[in-house]
This record gives sequence, structure tokens and C-alpha cells, in this order.
Amino acid sequence: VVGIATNLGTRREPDVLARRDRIWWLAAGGAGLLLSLAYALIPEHKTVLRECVYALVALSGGAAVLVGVHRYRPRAPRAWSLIGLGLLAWSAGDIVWSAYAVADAAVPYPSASDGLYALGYALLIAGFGAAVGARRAEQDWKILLDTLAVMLAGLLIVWVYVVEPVIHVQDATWQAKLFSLLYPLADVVVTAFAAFLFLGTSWRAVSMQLLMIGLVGTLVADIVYYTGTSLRGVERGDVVYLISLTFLALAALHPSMRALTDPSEEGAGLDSRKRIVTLGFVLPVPLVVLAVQNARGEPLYVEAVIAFGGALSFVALLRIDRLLAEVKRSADASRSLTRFSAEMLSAKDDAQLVSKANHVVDELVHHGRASVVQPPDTGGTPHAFAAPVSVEGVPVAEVVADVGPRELEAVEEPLATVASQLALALERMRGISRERELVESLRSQNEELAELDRMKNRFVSSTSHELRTPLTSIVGYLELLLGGEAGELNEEQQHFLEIVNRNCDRLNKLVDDVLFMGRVDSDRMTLEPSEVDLGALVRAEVAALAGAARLKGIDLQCDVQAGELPTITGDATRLTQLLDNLLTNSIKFTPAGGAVTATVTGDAGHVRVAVSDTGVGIPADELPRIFERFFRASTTAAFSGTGLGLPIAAAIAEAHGGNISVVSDVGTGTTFTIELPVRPADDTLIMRATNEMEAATT
Amino acid sequence: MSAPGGEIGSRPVILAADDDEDILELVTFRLGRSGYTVVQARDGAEALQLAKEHKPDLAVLDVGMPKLDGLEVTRQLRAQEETSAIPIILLTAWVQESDVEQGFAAGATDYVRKPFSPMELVARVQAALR
Repeated sequence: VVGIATNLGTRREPDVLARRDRIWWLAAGGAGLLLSLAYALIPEHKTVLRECVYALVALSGGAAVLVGVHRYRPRAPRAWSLIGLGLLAWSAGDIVWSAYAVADAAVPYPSASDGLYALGYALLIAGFGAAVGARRAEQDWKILLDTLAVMLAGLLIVWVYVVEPVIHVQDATWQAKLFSLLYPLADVVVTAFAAFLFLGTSWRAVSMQLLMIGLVGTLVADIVYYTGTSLRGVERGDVVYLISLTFLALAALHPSMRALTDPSEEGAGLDSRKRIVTLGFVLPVPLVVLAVQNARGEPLYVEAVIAFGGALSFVALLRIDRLLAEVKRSADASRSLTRFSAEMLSAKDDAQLVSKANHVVDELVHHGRASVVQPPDTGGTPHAFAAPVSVEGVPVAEVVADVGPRELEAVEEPLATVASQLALALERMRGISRERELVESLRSQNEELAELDRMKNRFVSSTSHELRTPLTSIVGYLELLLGGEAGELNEEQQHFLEIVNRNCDRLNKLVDDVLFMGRVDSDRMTLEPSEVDLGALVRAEVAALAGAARLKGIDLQCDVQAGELPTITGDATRLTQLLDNLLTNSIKFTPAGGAVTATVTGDAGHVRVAVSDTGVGIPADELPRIFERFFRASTTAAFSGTGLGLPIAAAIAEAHGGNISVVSDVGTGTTFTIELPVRPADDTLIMRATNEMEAATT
Repeated sequence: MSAPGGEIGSRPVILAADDDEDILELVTFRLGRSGYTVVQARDGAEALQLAKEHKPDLAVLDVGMPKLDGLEVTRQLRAQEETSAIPIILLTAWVQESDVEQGFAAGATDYVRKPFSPMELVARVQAALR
């Protein structure tokens, strides 16, 4: 085993065996087990060979532990080293014993072997003591209580089965009696250590499982010795011992052997169930002992049973009481935390969050003080517990507690939970307030924009109105001049003033249109609804424009559908304005000799007016834009106009719940069609105006 | 305050009020030429005072005047018995339905929107006096 183990080299590596190493490790285990078996099978008369095999396995086992220490270098190597040396001392004792056997000499009691065995126990106990010391940080008083319970049970057994009989032996020397008592008592101590490790150590480490098997095996071997025959031949205890030793060697040769002394990552001592089960096994021991003694007809040693059993019960009660308190405590903590979670959602601001957190940490700590300090406590005395509360990586507060170590153990986790929950809530709060600020700033920006828009509308409106005052004088005095009120004009003067007059009309129209669009923009367009006969309206408008058309040499026609044409609900003035815009455009953009036709058709639901001309037309790519304000088709550049006629026409059609559409070919002509519903929907401007009027008259 | 071409008493008297001097002169000239005597006011307060003083046959009032606007002057003229029967024509640059409505509500007889044709104003005056 030593040779094989040496092969493993001295690299430091994670707690898993490499594939190559695993083969050697398994081979070492196999060899140990095979040799143990061989020892049991070698015939009694081949004493030398048998004892040699025993010595080989025993020495290799102890040596393997030392090799493991050298190989894996645990942080506190003393523990495993002492254990290895203790095993070697036992082996040495066995070899001395074998020497007696080979020499067929009478063995004194106690002999040199017994000295070595005692030394082995001492080293082993020192080794486990070192392991327990190395893991001091993880121990709690509960493990000590549990270990005490196991120890009491072990002591009771030893007392009944070893101490009492040994004390009552009449013909033994005091040295023999001493050693007879020493071994089982040392076994109880080793058992206690084993229990301690079992209860406090991470159970996942392979090495720890093997170590436990080895230790239990050793104890079983001892029990087999006590109860076994006094035959000097193959002792079954020896075989069990060799197999146990193999397991101990394998434990030390596994990389996870460091778990014995190195702190475990998952935190030991929290597995209460394991401990309860252990207590459950330990508590009935006094009864079982009584039962066994009674069945065997041996003395019951009632006093001892009562004493150990009573102590055991007391320890168990203490444990159960603490356990219940712990359970209640943890339930309280969990209730507090749940309530805290809910409260955090309803908190209005940071101050409320912190005050609620303060309340809950105060509630969690029973002995001592805990609070949320804001800002974090940088200087000052260190606290037993301090968890930073960070928002976006910046510590803004700190959960601190000044408590004793036992209290700390109970509150550490809930306090940390409060700290992290508080951090989350503060972060959420910050997000919410940021969102609020954003919404607020968008809202105020929006308001500013709306105000700007209103200002623009007011500006356009008042400017346009102001334009009317000078325009009034210009138009008025022009009329006086043209009317000859200031004397006769010659032909040229007359012509020039007519040009001025025409442009005054244009300017006036522009002011009107701009004002109208302003009203549309600020939703101040008002309509005066009545029942309108669109056919009559079109006829009247065509008649009104007949003169202008004739002057330009344009054939202006009107084609109203024969038969019943429904009247529509509409504002006659606005509809006239709409028709005027369309017809004036058509006449304007149609060359002399062309034709403009207004066609009126209708059904039960809609009335349509189509205004067609044989004018310049609109390029297809400009069609989508012609209802935009101030947009003028490239083909109309040579004509005067405001660029507001079509947007106004569209706005009026829409106010009536209708629509306007256009079909055009450059050079061929253009047709605008408005389609108006006979009964507009309730949400149209015209319907709202109608309802207002009805409300006013009733 | 009398217009050229006649004496108060022999011809119908018209009170013309406008804060714009040019428009006031235009109105005065046109109405004078058409055979009316025009009393001029340059703000609403003056218009009110002159109306009481001269008991004009008709008033042509600009809506947008300082001190008292045309609507207010109309209301006050209508409120007093001695001036309540005077026909009033409002001149307005604000030609929305609501403006017109307000004008009639205040008691105006007719309204003419700016810019206007002087001859049209004469026609409206004649109609209102009839």
C-alpha cells in the first residue's frame, strides 16, 4: 500500500481523484482487503507467514496515512499525522504480540504490546483532538451536547459489560485491571470523537465516510475481541481490524482527507435531522442494556443504568428544549421577514423602508441590540454583525447587531436577509422615483410644447387680425380712388390700382385662410348645422362662379343626379367655402377652352360631389402631399394661391365626418371627390354642434 | 367734431368710433359724401359720451377699441333709455361666429367685417336707418 500510495506523487489538487490516481487508489484498497482475507485463510500452523501478512497490512495502513498527509498537505497536518502514528503504534504492538506468538512464549499481562497499544490510543485521541481543535470555528455547543449523549451511552455499555466485570475479577493484578479498563474507556473516547465528526462534518467528503467506516470497524474489532474466544489462533477481531485499517488508509489517501481539518464550505452543524436520529439511537441504550442483561440472567447494575440513563435523558431534554426554542425562533423570524417583505411593498419612501427594516431587525434580535444605521457606520467600534445595504453598488446603509456569539448564530441569517431585501427595496424605490421624475419631466415638456403651440396659434391669430386693420384702410381708400371720389383716374392709373386691389383681395383671402387653419388647429372651428341640400348648394356656387369661368373661357357645368337626393346635416357656410375652394382651384388651374364639371350623386347613406377639370394636373408623386399646408404642386407654380385651400377643404369635409380624395393625370386633368355622410357619426364636429344646438333649444 | 359738408340737425347724424385714425377718416369721408353728418370718437368712452351728447341717428362702432370696446359701448347704449333705440353697426376684425353672436347679444343691429367696402357700409347704414 505504501509503494502504491507513493506512486500518487505530491501534487495538490481538488477533492476528486484523477482517473489514473483512482486506479491506484482502488488497487491499494483491493490489496488491503485481499491481504486481510488472506490472513484469515492462512492455516494456523503457518504462523510466521500469517503474522508477516498481518504485519505487512498493519504497517502499510499506518504508513499510508502519513503518505496521504505528505501528498495532500492539509492545513493542519498534525491531526492526520498523529492518527497515522497511532495506527503505527498499534501495528508495532501487534508485531510484538506476533513475536510472542511465533516464539510461542508466554505473554505477560500487561506486556510490551499493551504499552504500545496504549500509546496508539493516546496518539489517536491526540490526533482527533487536533482535528476538533482545527475546526473550532464551526463547532457549537449543540454538537458537544450530542457528543456527550453518545459518550454517556458508550460509557454505560462499557460500565456494564467491562468495568463492573473487571472490578469484580478476584485474581487479576491491578496493572491487568488497569489495562483492561483502559482499552474500552479509550474506545469510548474514540467513539465520542467519531460521533463528533459525524455530527459536525460535511458528510459529502468521501474521506470522512471512509474514516467513519474505519473507526466503527476498529470499535467493532475491539468488541469482537472482548466477546470473542480467548483462542490464540485466527481472531475474528484481527480480520475486522485489518479491514478497518484498510478503510482508514483509503480515507487518508483520498484528496478529500483535508475535510477532517479544513473548514467545510457548506457550513457544518446545521443538519439537525442527523442529530435527532443519533439521539434517537442513543436514548434507548439504557433500556436495551437492561433487557440484554435481564435476558442473559446477568446482574442489572441498576444504579449505573439509572445514573447514566438519567444523565442521558437530561442531555436529551436540554437538546429538545433548545431545539424547540430554535424552531419557534426560526418560525418567528420567518414571520417577521414575510411581514417585512409585504411592508416594503407598501412603503412610500426610503425613510419608511429604513424605519420598517429597523423595526424588523430589532424584533429579530432577542438578546442584544440591532439596528439599521444610515449612512453606513464606517468608524467606531466594530459590531458582532454588520451587513452593508448597497444600492447600485454604493453602500447607503448598514444592518448592524451587537450580540453574543450564540445569539449571532440565530440571527445572522435573517439579518442578512433583511439587509439584502432592504437593498432591493431601496433600489426599487430609486427606480420608481426615477421613473416618476421622467414622467414628470416628459409631462412638463409636453405642457411647454402645448403652451408653445397655443402661443403660436395666438400669435398667428392676433397677427392676422392686426393685418386686417391696415388692410381695411388700403381696401377702403382704394375703393374711393377707383370710384373716382378723389378725381378722375387716367387709364393707366386705373389699371395699376386694379392690380393693387386684386392683390389686396389675395392678401385678405390669405389672412382669412390662415385664421381658419388656426381655428382648426386649436379646435376652435365651430359649425352651424342645418339640413343642407348639397345639389342646391353646388348649383348656387356654380352660378356664382359662372362669370369668372366665362371670363377665362372655361365651360363650367353642373350635373346634379336626377331624382331624390337626400339632404345632409351640415354647415351650409362651410360647405360653400369647401365647394368654392375646389371650384376656384379647378377654374384657376384649367387653361382657356377647358371644362370644369361639378357632379353630385348620392344614395341613402352618402352624398358625393366630384369636381373635375381638364387642367394642368398633379404629378403622381406629389398627390399624397397636396392636403399639406402651404404645399403647392409643381404644376401650379405659375398660379397664385395661398396653399391653404385644400387643407381647409379637407378639414371641413372631416368635420362633417366625410372625406376628400383626388385622382389626377398631368396634362389631362384632376378630379376631387368629397363624400359626406347623410347622418354623420356622433363623434363628428357637426354632430356635436347639432347636439349643442338641440340642447340649447330644449 | 363735425364732418365737412353739413350742419348738425339738417342731415342724419352718425356717430363713428374707431381707434384707427385712417379708418375713422375713411368712414367719415364715405358717410359724409353719402349725405350724413358724422360725429367722430376715438375710443369707447368718448363714443358713449358723444352718443349722450348728440343723440345720433345711428352709431358705427369698432369692436376692438381701447377703454371700452364696441360690445361694451353697445351694451351701455342699450341700457340707457335715451340711447337705447339708436341702430348700431359693429365693425369687427374678429369674424367668428362667436364674435358675431356676442355682437347681436349685446344689442347690435348689424355688423360689417373688416376689411370692408366703404360702399357696402353705406348700404348697411341706409338699411339700418330705414
